Amino acid sequence: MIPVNLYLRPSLRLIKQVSLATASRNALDQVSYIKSVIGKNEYNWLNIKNNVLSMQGTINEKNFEGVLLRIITSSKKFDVGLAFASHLLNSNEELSLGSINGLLGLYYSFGKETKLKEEEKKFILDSYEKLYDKYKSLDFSTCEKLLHALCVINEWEKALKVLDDILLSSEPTHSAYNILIATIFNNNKKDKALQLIQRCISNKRSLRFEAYEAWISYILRNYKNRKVIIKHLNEICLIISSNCFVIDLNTAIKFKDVYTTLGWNANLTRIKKHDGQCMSCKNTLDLLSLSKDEFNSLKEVIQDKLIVGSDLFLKTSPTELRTFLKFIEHNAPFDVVLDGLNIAYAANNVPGIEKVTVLNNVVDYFRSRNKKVLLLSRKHMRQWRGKGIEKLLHNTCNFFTDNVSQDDPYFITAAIMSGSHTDIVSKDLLRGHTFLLKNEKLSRIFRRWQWQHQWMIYFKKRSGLIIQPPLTFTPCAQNKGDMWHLPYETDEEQTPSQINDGIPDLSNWLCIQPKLIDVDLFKEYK
Amino acid sequence: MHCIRLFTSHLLKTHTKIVPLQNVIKYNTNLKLNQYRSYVSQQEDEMENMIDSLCKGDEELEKKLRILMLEVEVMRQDGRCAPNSMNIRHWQHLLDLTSRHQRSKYLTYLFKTEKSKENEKAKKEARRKEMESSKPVINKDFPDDLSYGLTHQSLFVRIRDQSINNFDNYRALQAMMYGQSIIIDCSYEEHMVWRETINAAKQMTLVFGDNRMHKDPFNIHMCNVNLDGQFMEQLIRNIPSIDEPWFPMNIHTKSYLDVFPKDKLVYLTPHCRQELTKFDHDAVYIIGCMVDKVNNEPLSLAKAKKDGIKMAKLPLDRYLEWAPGSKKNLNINHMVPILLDLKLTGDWEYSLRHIPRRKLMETKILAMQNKIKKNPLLKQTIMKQFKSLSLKEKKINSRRSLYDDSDSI
Repeated sequence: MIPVNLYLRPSLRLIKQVSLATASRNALDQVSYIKSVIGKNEYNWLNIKNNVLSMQGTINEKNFEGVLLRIITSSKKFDVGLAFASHLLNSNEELSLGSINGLLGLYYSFGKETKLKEEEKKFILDSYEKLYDKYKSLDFSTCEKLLHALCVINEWEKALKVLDDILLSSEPTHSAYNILIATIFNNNKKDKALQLIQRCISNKRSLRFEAYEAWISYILRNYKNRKVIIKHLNEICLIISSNCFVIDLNTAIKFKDVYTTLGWNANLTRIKKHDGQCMSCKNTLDLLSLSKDEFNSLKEVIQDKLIVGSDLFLKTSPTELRTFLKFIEHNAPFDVVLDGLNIAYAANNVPGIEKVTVLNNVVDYFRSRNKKVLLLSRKHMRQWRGKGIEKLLHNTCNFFTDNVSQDDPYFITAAIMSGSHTDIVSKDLLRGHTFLLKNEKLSRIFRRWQWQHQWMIYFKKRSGLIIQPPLTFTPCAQNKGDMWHLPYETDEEQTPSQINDGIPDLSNWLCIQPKLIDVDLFKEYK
Repeated sequence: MHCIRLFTSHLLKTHTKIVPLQNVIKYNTNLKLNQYRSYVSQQEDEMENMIDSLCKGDEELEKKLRILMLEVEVMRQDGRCAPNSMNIRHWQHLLDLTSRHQRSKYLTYLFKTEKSKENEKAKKEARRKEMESSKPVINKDFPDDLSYGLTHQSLFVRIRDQSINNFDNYRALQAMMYGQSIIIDCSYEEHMVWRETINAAKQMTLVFGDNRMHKDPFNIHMCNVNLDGQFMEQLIRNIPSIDEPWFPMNIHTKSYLDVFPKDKLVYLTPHCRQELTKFDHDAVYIIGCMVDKVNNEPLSLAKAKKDGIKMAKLPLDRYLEWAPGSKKNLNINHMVPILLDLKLTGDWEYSLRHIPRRKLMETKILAMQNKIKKNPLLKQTIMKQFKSLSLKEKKINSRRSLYDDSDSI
């Protein structure tokens, strides 16, 4: 029975794959037919419809118009779309929801490129009235389509109302927020736009190219004085840095062009990892260490969120937590907290190196710098054989959790409770723990704490033990006087073999600073 | 052996056959709701009826439901997956879902079931037409099955499904008197999403069937059962006769601590470090009834710790080579047969055959070899890619391909 099964299962999977391939081939017939037809110039829409419906596939009587319009829009054949639109509008039948949505989508994409005609504008406004008349409140996909179309004809007040309607059944998309922000800027209503930006950020939607571009052109349109323009552009950068945003490549290029025309130096560059030096201006990035309040807010919640969580028994037990707290009370503060097992296993696939030796080397490294070291690990570590373990226990403060408990929450908590100067040593990126904080602001603080305090241990065959110190700078958007450094991201993927050590990409940064003369001025001013 | 085989093929039929009277009435009320299920779009007034019975005058809810109905209609009309007809239970569930992503997933699921039902119906129709034109064929599940009837002669009295069912139930009842107890802990419903609860109920159904078919069944106790929960609702749908007094299974709303002495209990959880080396015929083993696809916290470990009872895990690594990326948690309908065989034979190798083969290394390797053998082009491209990589990248890649394949069988 078993061996047959063994051979059968994989082959079954293959058969499944083959049949899947044929199924999807049939499913695509209709779409490829439509695509081939809309390339030609003569349209007999009834004929096309009958042909499509006679084929096998998911397009049916009901969704034909909607799907057709979507395909036309996505392949950017606007003349075909407009022809079909006039066919629909002249057919004297009441438009279905699907066709209204399709038309709105078409007019939005068309209107982005060229100005819409009066009748098309009228159609958008009419369908806004009609839909609200008929249904009172709309579903999110109709809302999204309507919002985009309204934004194209600058009806931002109506669009704002539609945005509220989306919230009834779901969250607005990035695109909805950004297109609306851009439209409001285009209509010179800065206060309204800023309000919406705040709403957008609190809804966990970041800003995109459209919004940035509209904001920048709003500034350029309304102010002519160079200094005033710079002051207003600064406002955008402040929003980026206070939310730790990473802008996209297009926005970065836009910023670069604008600042260059203003006579500033703006360059796409990269940051050196070991000291945070910008390769373009040779200045170093600052270390934005946590303020007292920020650290305390982290300290207050860390035990509750990481160790206790929803159920204390999931990660540990009450008695263990009590012993731990007593232990911290008696022995804190520490200078360094070691994630014992993580360090010990750094040399896991290097033969001939004992786990304890690695740990002892790390402990020696810190002790020679007069640091008080806390070792946190699980109890089974004490049963490891060899002399090393005795030395290890002698040289460190140590706390061992039960074998079925988790030690990671404990070592993080120990470090944070011991004080704001305490460092941690672990190769773990702690992403799961960051997530457990369940609060955007707190996790941002935690990540900054991590960049500032986390040492990492690597062990390689050739070079031996590598102890990587924490970053000396904070890899977030930041300014120094007038100078700005903003990270941006490109579509290129990072090479997979690169070790991910939790530090964001340092190869894509935008460096903005006044020309040299201005720098001198700045120095005098200082 | 013959009986068992026949039973497996009739397992589902037997369940629907024993329908006590009160359930028939329940079914009738269900039927009323199901009459909406037609293959054309629902009529307006039917929709209004449904809104009335779902919202009962709650305006907020009605507004939301109307928006959702519009949402579904829009989805139908612009080519996304949405079913043509939905009954009141589907709407209720749609109202309970919180995000649009969840709704769209659920609608896709409903759409697919609707389509497969349609296809099934069409196929049946085609088969029926074919049958009409051709000679009737005797339907045999296995070649040595006996055919009963006027034209067939047989020495033996016919054994009906009902008799097999009775025989199995008899064995289960016997186990209830003399057999070793085993506990299914059903307290995890709040940690599961709806789909997982449905799956858990299905697994429980299979556990009941597998157990009573075994030579030496367990006396199954379901503990911490929430009688009003979704899990129980689905289980009753699967096994309609489960709340009959004669039904051969124990259902407790109490905790297992109130039913059994604490020192006999052993919680089986994959998260602990203690391995189960020998089957203890005096112990009462506890299996947590959960499907943990979404929430993978060690819930059963926490429960056992909190209650202060012994824990153990199966010695999987000792007997099997596990594939990377496969999880070590097993379905309850694998756990129970493993324990059943272990109790009878004490042979781990034999008992662990119930573990799905896809979780093992051998299957993974074989599947990959097969894939390459069948498709020479694939082999070329793989070799080409492989040659251009450095040794380290090779290592990373080969590991990753093993991970990517997991559970796709």
